[in-house]
Amino acid sequence: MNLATHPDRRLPAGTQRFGEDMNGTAKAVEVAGLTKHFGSLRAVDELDFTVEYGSVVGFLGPNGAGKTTTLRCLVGHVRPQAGHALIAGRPYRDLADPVSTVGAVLENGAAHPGRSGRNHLRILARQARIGPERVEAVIDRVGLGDAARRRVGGYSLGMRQRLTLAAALLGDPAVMLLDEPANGLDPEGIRWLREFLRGLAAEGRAVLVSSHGLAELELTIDKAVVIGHGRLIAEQSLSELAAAAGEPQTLITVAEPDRLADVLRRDGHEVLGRDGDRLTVAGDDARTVGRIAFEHGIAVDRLATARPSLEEAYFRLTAGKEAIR
Amino acid sequence: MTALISAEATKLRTVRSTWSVLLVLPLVAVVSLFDAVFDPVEHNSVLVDFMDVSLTVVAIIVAAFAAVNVGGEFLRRTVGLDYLTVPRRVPVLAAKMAAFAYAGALLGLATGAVAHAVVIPIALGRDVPPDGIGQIVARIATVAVATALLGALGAAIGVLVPHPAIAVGAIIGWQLVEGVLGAALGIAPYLPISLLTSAAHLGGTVSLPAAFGLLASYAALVGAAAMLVGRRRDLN
Repeated sequence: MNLATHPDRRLPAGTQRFGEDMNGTAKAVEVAGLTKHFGSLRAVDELDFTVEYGSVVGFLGPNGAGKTTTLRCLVGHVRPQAGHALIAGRPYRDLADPVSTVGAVLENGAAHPGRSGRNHLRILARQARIGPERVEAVIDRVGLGDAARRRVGGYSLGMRQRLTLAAALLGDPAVMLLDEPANGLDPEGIRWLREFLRGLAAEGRAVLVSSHGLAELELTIDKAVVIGHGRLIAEQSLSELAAAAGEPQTLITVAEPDRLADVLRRDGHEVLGRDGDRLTVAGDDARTVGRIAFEHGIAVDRLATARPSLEEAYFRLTAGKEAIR
Repeated sequence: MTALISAEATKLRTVRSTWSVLLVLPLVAVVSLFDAVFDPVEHNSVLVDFMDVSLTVVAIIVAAFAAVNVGGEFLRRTVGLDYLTVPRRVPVLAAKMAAFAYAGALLGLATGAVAHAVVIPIALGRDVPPDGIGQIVARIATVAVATALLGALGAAIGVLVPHPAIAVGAIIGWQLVEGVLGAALGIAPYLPISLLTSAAHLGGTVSLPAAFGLLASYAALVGAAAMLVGRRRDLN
């Protein structure tokens, strides 16, 4: 079902359908020149990126890179010193119907521990003038089930994540902002989350989901926005990221790595590095590398080709970008 | 605004702490009367003493309850959910003050009614002359108005001091500050705790309407400061 054509869908004010504002030009999320510093700490530094409707965008970076601050700027919880962070073409505070435009999961488990999950959602619904039937619908949607009757204090981490997702979905929003929703989830929970996010994008929504690692989002996202020290490092599709991951390499483990390295260099090969007895050679011509070792009487223990994974590419992009606090 | 106040009231209704306070407050009020009940010679009216002691204690507990609840929302970051629903913060903070004024009034009414129901038979048994029904109603209403104002004031303090323990410490510590400040500046009768005492006597140095007017002004002043701070504060 395409949400944009769903008859019950309450479209955000000023929005004709997902992906278009009154002028038909607005991005789901548009961040430009965004800068926020806390004292001497520059948490976000002239950051630019966009998110389109109908896509899941991974917002990646090491811990302390500025992801959460950026998301908080988007919803007006934090005031930037410069730049702008727009949703559907407007600052959050100027959205006519924010709950129906944006669903945000910024504080996992931010609920009174003594209140039931259902009452937590009912309160949010009442604030937004949303009917109680919608509360039951989102409880079903996230699979909270009977747990909705229990106090939040007794919830597992996974159940808290589902509750916060349910809260974000209350207004049936076109844009979802999720801050590290996979934190602490078990493999089954991560798989559920992956399918859940893909489902949201398939309905035409825009999803911006942050994570400090690429592995848990690799199968979910269409595009990665990678930041470090608050600055944009890369904004690429997964295929672009894969291409940027680097050339294939030949890995050879031998008894005399130094001698083989000399021989290979003399033969015009680029030796990228040595790790113990293992050499990393540029290119995937394992047959030639093996032959050269054989011709020089160097015993070979292991020979293989490899291409850096997306995760390695990500680590390469973000190396040394952890926040210093 | 109505939806926001209703949501805030639902927040209070759906946690145990509110009901615990509702149970504890009358008990506090009754216990604080023991001296008056069993030593009637020094007290020509048990109910006056009830007002003198209990109103102050109960009103301060209501203020602390409000400060803990609102401060706790900042500590747990659940206030962020309110701001997601209503991005302009002033109505959210105003709704919190209104909801705690409402809750304070209900708690005050319940406390006043229960405490009087317990005390009057005891007073009659000790040959202490009780007041007329009109005065009893006036006293219960006075408790309700005072707790409503202190509820709103406590909510504003919770916004200004977004840490429950520190907020409660500030409220309790204020009694000491007020004593020193009042004596130093010669304005003791016009400060909040003294105004509660004036209200307890249905008027004293400061008349009852003036006492309530000044208490309302304090609540409005602290509320305005809370909104000024709250609307600009980053939620980190």
